[in-house]
Amino acid sequence: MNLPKASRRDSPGRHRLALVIGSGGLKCAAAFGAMKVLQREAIPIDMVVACSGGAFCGFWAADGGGDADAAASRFQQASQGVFDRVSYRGVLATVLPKFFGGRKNIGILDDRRLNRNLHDFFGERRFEDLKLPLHLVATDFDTGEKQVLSSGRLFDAIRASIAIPLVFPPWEVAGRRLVDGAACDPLPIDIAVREGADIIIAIGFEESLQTGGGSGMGLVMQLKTIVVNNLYRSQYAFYSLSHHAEVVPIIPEIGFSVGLGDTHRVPQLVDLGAQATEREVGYLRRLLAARETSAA
Amino acid sequence: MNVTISQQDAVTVVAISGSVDSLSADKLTESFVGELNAGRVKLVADFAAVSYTSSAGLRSVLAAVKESRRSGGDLRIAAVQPDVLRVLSLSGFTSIIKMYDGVAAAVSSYGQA
Amino acid sequence: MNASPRDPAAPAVSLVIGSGSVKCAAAIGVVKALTEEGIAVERFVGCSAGAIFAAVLALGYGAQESMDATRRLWTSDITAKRNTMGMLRALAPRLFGFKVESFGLRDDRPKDQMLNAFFGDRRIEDAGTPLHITATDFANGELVDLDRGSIADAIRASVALPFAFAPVRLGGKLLVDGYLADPLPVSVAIKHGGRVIIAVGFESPYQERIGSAGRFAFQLSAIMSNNLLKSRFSFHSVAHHSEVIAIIPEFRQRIRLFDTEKLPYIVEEGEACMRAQIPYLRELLAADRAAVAS
Repeated sequence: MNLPKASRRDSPGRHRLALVIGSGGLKCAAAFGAMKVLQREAIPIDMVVACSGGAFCGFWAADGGGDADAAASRFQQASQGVFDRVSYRGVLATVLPKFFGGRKNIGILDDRRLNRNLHDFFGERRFEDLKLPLHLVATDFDTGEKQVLSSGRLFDAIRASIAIPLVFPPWEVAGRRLVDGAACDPLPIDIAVREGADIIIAIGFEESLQTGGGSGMGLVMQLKTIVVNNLYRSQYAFYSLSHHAEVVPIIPEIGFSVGLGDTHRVPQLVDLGAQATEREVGYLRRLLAARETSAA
Repeated sequence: MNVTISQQDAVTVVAISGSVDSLSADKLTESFVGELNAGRVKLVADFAAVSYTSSAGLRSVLAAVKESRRSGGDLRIAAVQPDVLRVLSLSGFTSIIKMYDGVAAAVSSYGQA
Repeated sequence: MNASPRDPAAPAVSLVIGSGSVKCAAAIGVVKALTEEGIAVERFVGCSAGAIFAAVLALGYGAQESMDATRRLWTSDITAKRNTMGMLRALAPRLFGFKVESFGLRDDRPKDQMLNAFFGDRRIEDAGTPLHITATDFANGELVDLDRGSIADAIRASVALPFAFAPVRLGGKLLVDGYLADPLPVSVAIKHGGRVIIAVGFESPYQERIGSAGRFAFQLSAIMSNNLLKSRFSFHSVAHHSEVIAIIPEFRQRIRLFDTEKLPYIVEEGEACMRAQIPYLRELLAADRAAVAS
């Protein structure tokens, strides 16, 4: 990413532009495609906010970016195999909690592979090491409240933000049991507003509705999808009306269902993200040009 | 963005073309305020030629919806193109504003209620 | 029942009753307070259990009659019978055949019989006051505004809590509990020209201990629906041109699903919450009429 050198945070009177990437599982790969277009247009980003699956691209953008295609294929590799391994202990703990100590382990997938891949990806890196401010969103499972993670170990924050309930076990950070940020704030535009952004590029995804629903688990997932999509829409509606400046939505049109294991779809998703961004570029250019003129 | 205003019976049709965004919002607001101040509170926004909407543009439309309702009227939207409809739906507008396929249906809806 | 047509010049509000099980009976108290103040309700919107109270009140039942009706409709009989086949289907879908259309862990029949016995073949459009019952389209998650047809059927759809009860097919759509689309559907009142809107809403209670997958799922559902309640309400507050008055009774006593013996207490709390807002409501209604007249 061609970030202009001067730190925009220090120049008062200029606009502050935030990139917000919402939850969407593997579909979040489309955000890398969006970034390709934003890089080409040299859109200056001042801060990044992300939730759940969006955290991967969010991290990469806040780390200074680089080759988006290469980053997307790293994302693809890191996702492979993560969703294959069912945790039999986890399933037993879920079905028969009294015998298998379900309290902490509720989640049907084995998270060891996930944790190892995440560790390979992030190591011991911290938010403080990144070039741009990064805010990640998770949900406090005991109070239902939003938790914004902006400092400390990236591994912990990302593991918490993607802890899809009933799929992966929750993750504890600073004494709080955290799960997927999608349960409270799937497209966290509010954090960008609070951090003082006046132009917000929001990349959002609706979750894919299950068509079959051929099992109890399928039904649970369909219900979660319905509520998360409604939450996503209603929060977008509120934020876009209550914000003082401008929210530019980038909503890739993904005409097929993308499961968590469909990693072969990543290149296609990157293209769809780029296409959706091209539709907004004309307006973004005019908006930024007008701001430059009025600031001068 | 351009705005053309016409009267159909007791209803004012505000035909908008182009991009409804933060650069055009003030102009759109002025057009609506002009009609509302003149006591024309039954409005139809013809979106057939609207190619793009952003949050600032939608806030201008919403301000007109609220002001017309306060005065006992309404603002109803007609002929939205699919790309724009996605943003209107995401922004909650379809849940709180009456939408019609065409201007004629929107205008005649005022006769029914 | 008082079916006398309302004086169109009299002050009136729209009343939206959100999901919240037996706590929704607070709406009876809200209507009692309004009626005693000479303020009419011009439109009722109800979601989930709130739909039962919206229907009873829109049909014109008074406070005492509504409480009696609640005691008849809201008994533990409606969930007492397990649907054994449903359990087997959940545990072994391949063996017993899993179909979303018919899946529920509780037997629907006692609930359906109760609703049919009470509402008979009365229709939504026959209610003395316009009535809307909301449900969720299971295929796309969108809110469905049921404003005509059988009241009993509409309520069945609105309360079809997934896992407990089977979804309901109405008008070609598979419908489930309205709370999944919007736990407090103020948008329906706004869209139909509501001016001053009173919204009676409840947060879902959180689990005290999470020791099983069932409770885990309940907790998750409570988290998401409370966040949805807040964000929908925020949007409606910003988007509405007049005022949305929230009535959110805070019950000091814990109210469980079938605590109908607490009905008088629930109704009193609703009435007290409404009474506290009456002076402001009067000012609002006066200002609203002035704005329209000018």
